[in-house]
Amino acid sequence: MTDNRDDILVKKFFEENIKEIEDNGFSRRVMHRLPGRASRTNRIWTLLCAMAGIAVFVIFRGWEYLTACFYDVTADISTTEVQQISPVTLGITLVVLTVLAINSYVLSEE
Amino acid sequence: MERVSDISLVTRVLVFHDKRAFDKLVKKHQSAVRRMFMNLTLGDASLSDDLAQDTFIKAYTRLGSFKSMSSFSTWLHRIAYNVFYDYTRSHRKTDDIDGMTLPQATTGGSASAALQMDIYSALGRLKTDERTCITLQLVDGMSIDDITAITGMPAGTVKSHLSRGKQKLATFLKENGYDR
Repeated sequence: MTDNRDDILVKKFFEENIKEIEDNGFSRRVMHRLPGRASRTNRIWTLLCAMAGIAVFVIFRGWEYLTACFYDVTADISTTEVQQISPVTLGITLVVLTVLAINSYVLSEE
Repeated sequence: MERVSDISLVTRVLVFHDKRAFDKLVKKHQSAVRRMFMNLTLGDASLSDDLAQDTFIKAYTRLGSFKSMSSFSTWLHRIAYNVFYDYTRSHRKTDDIDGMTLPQATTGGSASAALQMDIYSALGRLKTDERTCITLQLVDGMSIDDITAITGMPAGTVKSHLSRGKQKLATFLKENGYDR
């Protein structure tokens, strides 16, 4: 009985004294401190760098260099003896590369 | 209905990165969280605000781990509890950490200020774990299961803390003439 009375007394005391706390700018301070400001800055910086890279590519006619590189590579390939690469070898190579790619993906997911 | 509201706000934050939704969550729960810290720190408003801010920031970064197995409020209080204990562990002195002293009395002789000081005086008589359980039950209205989920203490331990805490508080209240 005494325990019940004590419980009621304590409960009543807290019920009478529970007060809501006004926000007074607290949520604004929290929002200001949230992470994400840095990642937004990173995204902006990445975008600026990408635009700068595209601008440099266009100004210095980068596609001409790419075209020249492509022709050089294809010319080198045509001069090698591609016939010596058998379909089996090529197939094994593709399978190995595929397995490595899947393994790499699975590891990155983990 | 309220739980659905919290879940919908959480979903908006996670799926649409809607920070305004998180702002609503903060506004909705800031009073309860700050009040919890005020009770645990025995009225240290500055420290309470700092801990409460840390709580919401942690909640924001870990929002993806909220599985709605419990209410958002319970989940948030768990984070708050861990924030408080991390703070007490990092600021542990050689003497008993349960012997937290009341901060300097706030100015003003208003009745409400006196009552607030009485609350903290009362809570100051309790051990930290007792204070935590009492605060969660009697101030925040949490059930034993909620308190268990928040603190990680077994239900029996929670009940013991509540029982001892209430006994001590009742003694304090009677000593100070609150026995009506």
